[in-house]
Amino acid sequence: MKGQRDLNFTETSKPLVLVHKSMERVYNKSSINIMLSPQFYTMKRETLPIKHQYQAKKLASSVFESLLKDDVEYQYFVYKDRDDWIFIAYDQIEVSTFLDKVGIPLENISKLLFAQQYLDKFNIPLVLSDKELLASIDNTAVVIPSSIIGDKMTNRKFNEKIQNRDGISFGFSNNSIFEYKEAIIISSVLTIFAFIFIIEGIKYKNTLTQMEDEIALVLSKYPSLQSKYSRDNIAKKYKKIDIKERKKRDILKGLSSLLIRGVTLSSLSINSKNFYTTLKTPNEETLIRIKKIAIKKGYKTSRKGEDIIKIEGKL
Amino acid sequence: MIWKRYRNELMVLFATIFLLIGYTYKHIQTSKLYSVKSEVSKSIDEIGEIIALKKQWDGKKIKSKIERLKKDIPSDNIKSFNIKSRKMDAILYDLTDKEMNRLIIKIENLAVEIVTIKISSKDNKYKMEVKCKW
Repeated sequence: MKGQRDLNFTETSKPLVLVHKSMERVYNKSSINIMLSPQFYTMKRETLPIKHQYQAKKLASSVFESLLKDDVEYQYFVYKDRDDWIFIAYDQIEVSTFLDKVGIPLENISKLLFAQQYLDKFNIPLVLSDKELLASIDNTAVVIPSSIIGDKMTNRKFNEKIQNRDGISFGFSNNSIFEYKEAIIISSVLTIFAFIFIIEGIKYKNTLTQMEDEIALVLSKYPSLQSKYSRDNIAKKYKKIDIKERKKRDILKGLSSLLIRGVTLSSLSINSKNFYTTLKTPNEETLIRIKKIAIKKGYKTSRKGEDIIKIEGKL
Repeated sequence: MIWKRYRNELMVLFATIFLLIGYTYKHIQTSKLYSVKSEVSKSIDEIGEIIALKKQWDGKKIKSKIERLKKDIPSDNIKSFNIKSRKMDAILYDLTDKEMNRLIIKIENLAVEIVTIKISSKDNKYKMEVKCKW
């Protein structure tokens, strides 16, 4: 930074630059806070029976009624000073234009402060230019002509560490969709949800690992069933046997159900491909009855002589 | 320094990206869990079925059951009864219909593969050939 009359007192982390109309161009590339001289704002002190800052801020426009230009859209800043409320109105466009003119990019500005907030620093008037001083008179920061001070003590360089009081987010949030506070709130909510999702994801992952361990434990008891391929092969082998053998047994049961009163078995053969049986019936009526039952079961029938019926089928 | 101008938006953007990452991570884990869950339950059913089938059709006590079956048949009715390396081959004769029925039911209830059963009758007596394996 260049320019002797630009205040540059280091605060906790960012440099603070006093902005006044006679300041020289600033060459700065880092993030800064700025303090506006009274040349850029209008201040009013009021004693009001209100407690909270947001209530006071609602009243700001009415406090300045008829004091400000009608064609300018003012921004308001309100804070409490002992029993009084300090109302400050400033034209953001005017400030932005001036800052641009003196080489302070808006995106480099973090906080906006007002000289009114630091009255104690101007008890000894601060020299702004050959003709102007910034002084604290009757609890108000004012810019006065140097001539009225005469030979009284003045401050040419103010280089003192100070703690910033509450200021306003300015500059980078000027053209933002979100206010700084809004951005913080939205980001915090989104981040909390993100963490919730991640924690849930980790829980699911743990359950998954637990499940995989359990299945590994089960499979370790049956090493031959560990691979899906061998499981499929074994299942295929035994299912085939199961289906075929159940069918053979069903057929045997079905054939035995044909042995109704008076019917005797002459022969029976069953193997893995087909079966047949010959039954001797006591009369024609029984033969026909057996034939019907066998057909109903899906077996083939044929007569072998007068009282013998052959029943056959495939597996 | 452009990023400074859009610091608020960037802040929200990063938080949104973080949220999306978190959601995607959770979604992937959930999908994995459901897929593994169904796979595990399928595998367990499969294993259970295989174990049951194996137990049924690969029983180690079948041999002793067949030997017991042999004992139940009067020796007069046995022409041959061979049990050799998981195979049974028997020829029985002069069986009454009741004996034959009882034998068939017993064989049906054994978890063996019936290779062949042949029955023929003569003078109300039955000859039976049975071949099984397990």
